[in-house]
Amino acid sequence: MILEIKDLHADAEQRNVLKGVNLTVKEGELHVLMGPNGSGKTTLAKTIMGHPSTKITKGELLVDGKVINDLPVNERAKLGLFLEFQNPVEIEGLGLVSFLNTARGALNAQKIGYREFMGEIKANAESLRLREDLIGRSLNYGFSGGEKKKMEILQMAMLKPKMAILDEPDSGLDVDAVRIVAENINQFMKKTGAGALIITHYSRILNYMNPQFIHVISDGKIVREGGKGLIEEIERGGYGFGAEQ
Amino acid sequence: MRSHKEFVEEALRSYEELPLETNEIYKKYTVHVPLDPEPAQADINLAEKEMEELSKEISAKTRIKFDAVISEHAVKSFNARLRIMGKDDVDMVLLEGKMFKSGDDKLAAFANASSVRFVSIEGREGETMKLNLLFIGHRRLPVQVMINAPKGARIEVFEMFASGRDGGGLVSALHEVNAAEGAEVELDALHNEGEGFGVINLCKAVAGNNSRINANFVYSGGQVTKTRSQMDSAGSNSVVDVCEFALGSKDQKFDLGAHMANTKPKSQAYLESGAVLTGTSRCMLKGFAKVENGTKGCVSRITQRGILLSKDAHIDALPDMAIDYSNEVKATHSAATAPIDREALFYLESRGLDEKAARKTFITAFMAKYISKMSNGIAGEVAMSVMLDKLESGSIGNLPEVSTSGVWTTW
Repeated sequence: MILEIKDLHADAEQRNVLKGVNLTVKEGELHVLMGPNGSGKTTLAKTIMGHPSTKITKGELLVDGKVINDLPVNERAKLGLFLEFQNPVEIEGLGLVSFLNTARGALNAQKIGYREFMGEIKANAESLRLREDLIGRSLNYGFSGGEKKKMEILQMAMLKPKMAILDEPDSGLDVDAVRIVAENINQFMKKTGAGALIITHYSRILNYMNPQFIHVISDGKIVREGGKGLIEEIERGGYGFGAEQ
Repeated sequence: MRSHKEFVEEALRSYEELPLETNEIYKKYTVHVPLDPEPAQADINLAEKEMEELSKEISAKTRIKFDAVISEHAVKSFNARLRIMGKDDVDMVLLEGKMFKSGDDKLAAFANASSVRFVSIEGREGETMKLNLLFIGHRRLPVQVMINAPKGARIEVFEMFASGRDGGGLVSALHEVNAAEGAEVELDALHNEGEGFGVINLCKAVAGNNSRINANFVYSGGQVTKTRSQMDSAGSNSVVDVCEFALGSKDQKFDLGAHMANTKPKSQAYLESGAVLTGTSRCMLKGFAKVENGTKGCVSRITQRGILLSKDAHIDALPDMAIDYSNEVKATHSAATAPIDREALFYLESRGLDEKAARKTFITAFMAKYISKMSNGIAGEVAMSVMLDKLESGSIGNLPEVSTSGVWTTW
């Protein structure tokens, strides 16, 4: 899959947030999007996935050359897009297992037997150091912040998207959990060949990953791009280089 | 002995004195169900043969083997432990002795005056008893169910109300539940009466020391539903856990009222009420918790939640509490009503579900958290199937084939 973002302008909650974003992510590539608070990172993630509070006013979102600006959210998911939520929703009464089963059906995923399916869930939970009893509970209900973030990665592993947009997968995680989540993302990409765009404030998670492309967004525009060296630059001097670059 | 007329008159006065009826706030939010204390002759008698055919059909659809089928003019019991009586068989003195022992049993007084069927369920010490009861009537079915769990007994009762599938009428049910020391009672009820029916559900429950009473009432059918529960966590370490849920469509009305009381130290009383409404339906959730003096270490909690699926549907959530004792007591109440959470829908859609499936999944999950409280798995499946069918078709009182493929199941 190739995800292309061309001169994207978008409003969120009637406010102009994205002001001409250009970005291309291909399958197998790991991109990182960094930027100060309020720069438009989460709005970009939501716009890619089609959140109803966002509205594209100019530019295009393309998947494999096909414009998806007006595509319903679920159709984007069917193309292979996946959004890891910064604040995953809790839905009491919706069992995780049946939800994943329903989602896999909706995504036309390969049908597998119950045992294999449960085995896969348990293996992923173990890899993420998630307690097994969480699997039997309602979706994210009563989970800690860290458990929710790990559960998002578990969902990604189970739903096998072609392109994952990971909105702050490291927020709210302790040092060990950051490493575990990073390792699981690496493992997932290696296994499936999927591409990923990671949104983060901090470089800590990137110590365990090997991103090829770093993008810095400020005031709704990509203002710097580079390799891993750019992360060190940001660590040293913050986002001070800002829009003038 | 008083005459029947005197009995009825006193019963009606008693009803009007109920705490929930005299509460000034609650008075503003109520519905009226025509209450005729004198059992009138039914317009149409549901003949025994017809009742049998209908009960067989319901059994086949629900996969439930009923221990008794009860209607206005016929009773079929398949369990020797059940004692089912008609009005003429019940000694008024016996009833008064049984139901008026506390002297202020308003609900019992009221229901006694009108009931035509009496079901007595007596458990045995240390034994478990599971019963499925089916109530079907054509026009009018006032029944009374008395559940008595002696020391260490466990009684599970599932009641299915499927009256009025071809017209209007009235179903009224009174439950009197007593759990002695160490006993457990679970009372699950599904009301799926036909459109045009009035439904009255009354429950009086008293939990003794170290006992537990779970009562789960699900309302889907009928035109107007009015419920009143008086649930007392009346023993040390006793638990009373009540759940009420209504799914409304068209112009259905629900007035669900429960009065919870903690009367002993370390007692627990929980009320969880919920509603999902479409069309122009309306639901009043009234929960009152009373924490009495000297109840150190007790817990009282009222939770009310609602989802509105149309702009003309309406929920009044009215939690209230009176706390006479505040040392080491946990007492909380909360209420929230809203349309479907947009973020939750987006979340589900982002995982591949189309909008319709996402809405259904969200609503089903909301309903499941109430229905899953029923420990009788088949009863839960029947309740969920009825509600999913109602959400899909909008029809009231329809009974679909029970499905276990809904998203609410474990798999």
